[in-house]
Amino acid sequence: MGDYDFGKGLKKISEELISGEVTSEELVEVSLRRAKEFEKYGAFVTLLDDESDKKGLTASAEETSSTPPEAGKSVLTGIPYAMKDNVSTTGVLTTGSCNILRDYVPIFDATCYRKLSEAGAVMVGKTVLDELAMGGSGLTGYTGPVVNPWDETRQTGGSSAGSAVAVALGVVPYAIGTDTGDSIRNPAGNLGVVGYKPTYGMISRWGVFAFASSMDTVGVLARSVRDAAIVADTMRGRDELDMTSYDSGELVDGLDGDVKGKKLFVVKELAEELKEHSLDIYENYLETIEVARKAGMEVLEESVDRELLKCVCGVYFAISCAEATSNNSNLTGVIFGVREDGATPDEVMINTRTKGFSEFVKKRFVLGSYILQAENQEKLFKNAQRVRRLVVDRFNELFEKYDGWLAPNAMGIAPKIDEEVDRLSNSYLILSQYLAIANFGGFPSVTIPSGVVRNNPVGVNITAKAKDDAGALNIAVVMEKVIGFKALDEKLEEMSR
Amino acid sequence: MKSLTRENAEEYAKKLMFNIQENEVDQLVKDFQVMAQQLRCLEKLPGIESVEPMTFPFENEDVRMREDEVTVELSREEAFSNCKDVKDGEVRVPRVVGE
Repeated sequence: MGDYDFGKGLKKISEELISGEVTSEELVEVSLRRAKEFEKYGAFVTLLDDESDKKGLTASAEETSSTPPEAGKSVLTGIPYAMKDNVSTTGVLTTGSCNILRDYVPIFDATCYRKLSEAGAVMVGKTVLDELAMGGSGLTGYTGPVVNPWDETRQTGGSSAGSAVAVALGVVPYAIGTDTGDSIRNPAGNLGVVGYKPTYGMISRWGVFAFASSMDTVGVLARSVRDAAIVADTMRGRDELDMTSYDSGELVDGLDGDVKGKKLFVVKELAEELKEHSLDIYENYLETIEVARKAGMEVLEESVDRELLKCVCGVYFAISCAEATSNNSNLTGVIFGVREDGATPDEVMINTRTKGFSEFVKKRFVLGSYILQAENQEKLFKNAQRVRRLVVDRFNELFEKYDGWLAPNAMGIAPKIDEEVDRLSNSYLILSQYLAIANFGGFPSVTIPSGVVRNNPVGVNITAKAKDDAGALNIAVVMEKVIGFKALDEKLEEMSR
Repeated sequence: MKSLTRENAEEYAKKLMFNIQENEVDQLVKDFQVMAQQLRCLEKLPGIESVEPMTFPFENEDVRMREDEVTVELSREEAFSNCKDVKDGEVRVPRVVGE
């Protein structure tokens, strides 16, 4: 089969499968062929092809739950997709892009994976992330850096780097990611695809490697908002195995395109920061505000205490490092994972963890440990949790008056590879972790491409009150239509020539 | 807020069960200064002590007790499938007591 355009939308692809115009096998073949063709971009840890079977990286089709049923069972039936490598998939290597888990093969399915499999979705590979989902560069996975197809000298962003690249390269029509601080939305914006982080708990976290449990969210990277909604609809729902999960309404049904009279706000302080830092992105942001107005929405400016916004970065790092330190204490090499030798059980663990974690991750664990020390807990960890409440309260106040918050997706285009990888660095902007506000409050948050600046895509983000995913997606679907972003299609066409 | 010293960093790493190299400690202490700057913001907010810490984004109104039923069964074989050293149905580790 020749080239196939996954950008035509999941519904259209499904119709073609039902009519027999294409077969699932042909679509999978296209995916795997493209994944191999674009191997240099380093998006995959594992591809589910014959070669992986031979290496013993995957179980036989009978043992995995990824065998395609007949077309038409659901929109996703028979359509290939990629899964972030921190989601447990029975019989398929799942590494978290961390050396310590480089040979770990789960014995149970994450709920989101099970639901996709039951719907007949076909997983073609596991994608690279920043080690254990910590970090936002796409550079720290043990398999090597994920390469930005728009500009190979720049980072992809992360941590869902491989998933974003797989979608941006047209390898798959959608991919699953996770988002604790901005890990879906950040690479989506850098690569010109849609990134959707649902409300906390809308999709079960069961079977997903925990990073910071109070903020971790499963979500989708796709070519359109509608596709992201279709995929989230398949995965959502209360799960007995995750006590924070809940039943939400259907998302796709809410995408009626009626946004007349909706009210959005922009945060004055962030807009000022953006104007000062990246005038061209600021101008793109102003255009998106006009797009919203043109679509019939009212957009007003609101102020959020600058001192509070300055704390967002600190709150995020204090809470995420502390929770990560605790969540990853099970990685000892004794019961699972790579085990190093040692003369005593303690030595086994120390040698395993010393070799198994990169410097980058160890640093976060040490800082998390510092924050959790008895003498620091009150002033650091608990204060971070207190400020988290103040930030969330302020945004909830705004969501009482507004249907959504329209924000720039980032303060710049994708950073250069040799720029600071770590947001703990001094050069990192103090106001630039603001997308994590959606994780603090569990708010649904969706990023759509809004244009190209300095030859790199930029995005705009729409965030709404918790559990109003349908509202946020509906605003996004309308804006997406008015913006009419075509640069990715053109880029893919150029790459295929 | 007390600074993170080299000694602290080494002590925490030891408790976390890994070793860190000398150059890693240098970098850690340096990075801590940046984080400390961000964390100091937290203390400066007026009346912060009286705010209830937020541990989860929102209350889940849908919390129900699970039925007391066995729902996940893990065989011994499955449980050991990722373990490097198993003997007689147990995980083998180096001796903790002498011969």
